[in-house]
Amino acid sequence: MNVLVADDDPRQLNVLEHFLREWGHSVDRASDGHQALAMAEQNVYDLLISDWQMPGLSGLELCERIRRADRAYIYVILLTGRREARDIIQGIESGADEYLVKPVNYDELRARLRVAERIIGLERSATERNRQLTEALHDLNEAYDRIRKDLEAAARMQQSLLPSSFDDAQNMVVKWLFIPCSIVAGDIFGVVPLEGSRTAFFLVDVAGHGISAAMMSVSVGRMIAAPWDLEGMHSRTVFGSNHRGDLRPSALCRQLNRAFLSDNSDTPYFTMVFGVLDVVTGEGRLVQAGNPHPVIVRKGGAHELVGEGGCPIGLFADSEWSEVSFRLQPGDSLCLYSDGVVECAGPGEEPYGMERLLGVLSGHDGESPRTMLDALSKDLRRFRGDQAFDDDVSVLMLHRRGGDGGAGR
Amino acid sequence: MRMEEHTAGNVLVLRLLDDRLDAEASAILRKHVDASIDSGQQVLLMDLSAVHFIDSSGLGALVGLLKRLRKSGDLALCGLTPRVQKLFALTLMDRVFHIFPDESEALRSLAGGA
Repeated sequence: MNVLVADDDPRQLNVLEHFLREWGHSVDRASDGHQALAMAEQNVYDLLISDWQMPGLSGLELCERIRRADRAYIYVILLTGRREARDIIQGIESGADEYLVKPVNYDELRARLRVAERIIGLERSATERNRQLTEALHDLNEAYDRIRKDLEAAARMQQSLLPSSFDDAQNMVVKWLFIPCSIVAGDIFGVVPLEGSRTAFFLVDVAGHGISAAMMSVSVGRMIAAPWDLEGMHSRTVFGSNHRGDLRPSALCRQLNRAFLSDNSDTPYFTMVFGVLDVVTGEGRLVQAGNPHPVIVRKGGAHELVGEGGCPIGLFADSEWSEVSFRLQPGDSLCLYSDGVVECAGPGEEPYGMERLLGVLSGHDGESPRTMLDALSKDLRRFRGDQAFDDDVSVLMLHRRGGDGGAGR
Repeated sequence: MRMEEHTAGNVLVLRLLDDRLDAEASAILRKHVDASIDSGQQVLLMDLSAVHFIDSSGLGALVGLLKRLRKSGDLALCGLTPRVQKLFALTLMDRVFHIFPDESEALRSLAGGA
């Protein structure tokens, strides 16, 4: 050990230095408290052995000053002629680790030094481990930063796949609300113009969160929405080129189910609403594959739930899906949403729920779809409080123009 | 996810004690039940009466276990709370799983049928 010995009695210093060197330690000497303090500030010592009573700075004060300094731990042994319990307590409270009564018994000192060595060893290895942890944490933070930047780039790509505005269409207005819970989302939705006046629409919610769910959602979205009218692209989409004219939502579900089903019992899966709407007549058909019930908000504020439930996609080979018909009158809106809306948990873990969703939608009837969605977004955030969303929130709204002339804006 | 289990004949009854079956909880559940299946358990009754919320990962875990077990045994459920019942109705999983009101009815049926 590197030992600093402080005593105003040179004979005492000599004896201490002699024994310490004999036991294999290196020794520096200080002949008073101030000198000892200066040396302790400049050098690194494992151990300080100090006399209690010294002129200028006493052993107690030296001990307190050393403890106040923010440096590697020095084990301190105080030497004194005092034997009173309250003196010992005072010594310990000033920060001394050990206390030896003079005249020093050198066998006892040697035993105390072994204790000091053990404690300093523990302290040093704890400090080293701490340093390694700090370093590892730094590396982790850097790695996390890199990953986060990658994810943010992925999120921008994913968002670029969301539908663009349909405002210019003559008959329909399509608006959406999207709040991903982590950087990348497992929800995806879109609208795809088909032949004539028909438009396909979908909202997909992949089970789980994070990167794997996000990648799967992009892959599902591509399969549904890829531009199948380009030559050579047909095989990558679920719409065969021969069936474009009479695309059946239930057939699409079966195809997607075959594509995503695996023997693996941990198969990823997704829920979906998919439908086709004739934007001129307002007539449509949809399938509900495990997603919450779509809502039709009628002009005037009445609402209807569409669908009777259905199996998610990618779970069972023998699942079947049934189609439901619906009709949007001018001024009506069809609203698809992920379960992140109705299952969104409030401060007491209570779900946002269907009632509240319907209340907000009906309450803003007659206003534009954008206004309705903004109101919903605001209400969800109010309900959620300060917490971040723990599931993706996505809402797709198809509004049939007409009826009041104003809602389409 | 905390759980407790006991056997009734050849049926392993597993009672989930926490109220959320989400990604984290279902990973623990999967590991636990997979180990039971590996050691030869074929009929499992899961008591969900304490579970008030199942998310998509939780449903995925239950279906994964059902797929594993129904090859040579069964996974039955009992004690579905209203919100869980709604999820099973919405996803038609109430037609896929054997679902019973409570443990005693489930055991009567499983003992008779299995």
